[in-house]
Amino acid sequence: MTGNANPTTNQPSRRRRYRIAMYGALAVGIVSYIAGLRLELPLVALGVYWAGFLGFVAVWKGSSVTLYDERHERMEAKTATTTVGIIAIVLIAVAPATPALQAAGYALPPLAMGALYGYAGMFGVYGLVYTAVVLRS
Amino acid sequence: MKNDLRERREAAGMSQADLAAAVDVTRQTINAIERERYDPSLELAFQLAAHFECRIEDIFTPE
Repeated sequence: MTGNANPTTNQPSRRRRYRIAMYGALAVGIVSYIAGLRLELPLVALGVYWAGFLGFVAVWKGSSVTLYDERHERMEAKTATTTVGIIAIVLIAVAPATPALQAAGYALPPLAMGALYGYAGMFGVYGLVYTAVVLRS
Repeated sequence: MKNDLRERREAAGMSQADLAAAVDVTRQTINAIERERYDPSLELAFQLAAHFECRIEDIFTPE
């Protein structure tokens, strides 16, 4: 009945090992970064952080094992779409109201204004990437 | 989509992890397909059908 009588049963454990190595490198980078800042060694902290991040990317891209499958990719796409939708609602609802709030004497805190500009910038990037994807498909 | 993947896998004496390794996906993905919470791509459906030496429509049935 089965076409593959001898499945590669070591594959899941290899996938797990690679994932541990990938996220381990990132975790070491982040923890070292925090430790480096506390020890007042910001350059060393930044260097170790980047090294950790590069280790993450090296395992991710260099691995011969499929670390994430199509279901993960579909979940990520759904998550990204939902996130963009939520941010769009916030931006559409709040951003046009800011001049009216200011005219009424209320000023949004700089953090909120920064977030709104950040959201707007994100949609600019989204539009550019979407255009590139459409042109290439 | 409805499917009889669990029955086929169990008849073959395979665990979800074995089948996942055979078609290069995670065990969670096989579990999600068996629970009909995830519809596989055409490529994965072909791989599963090839593994069980049958046609895609023998495993999967549109609801």
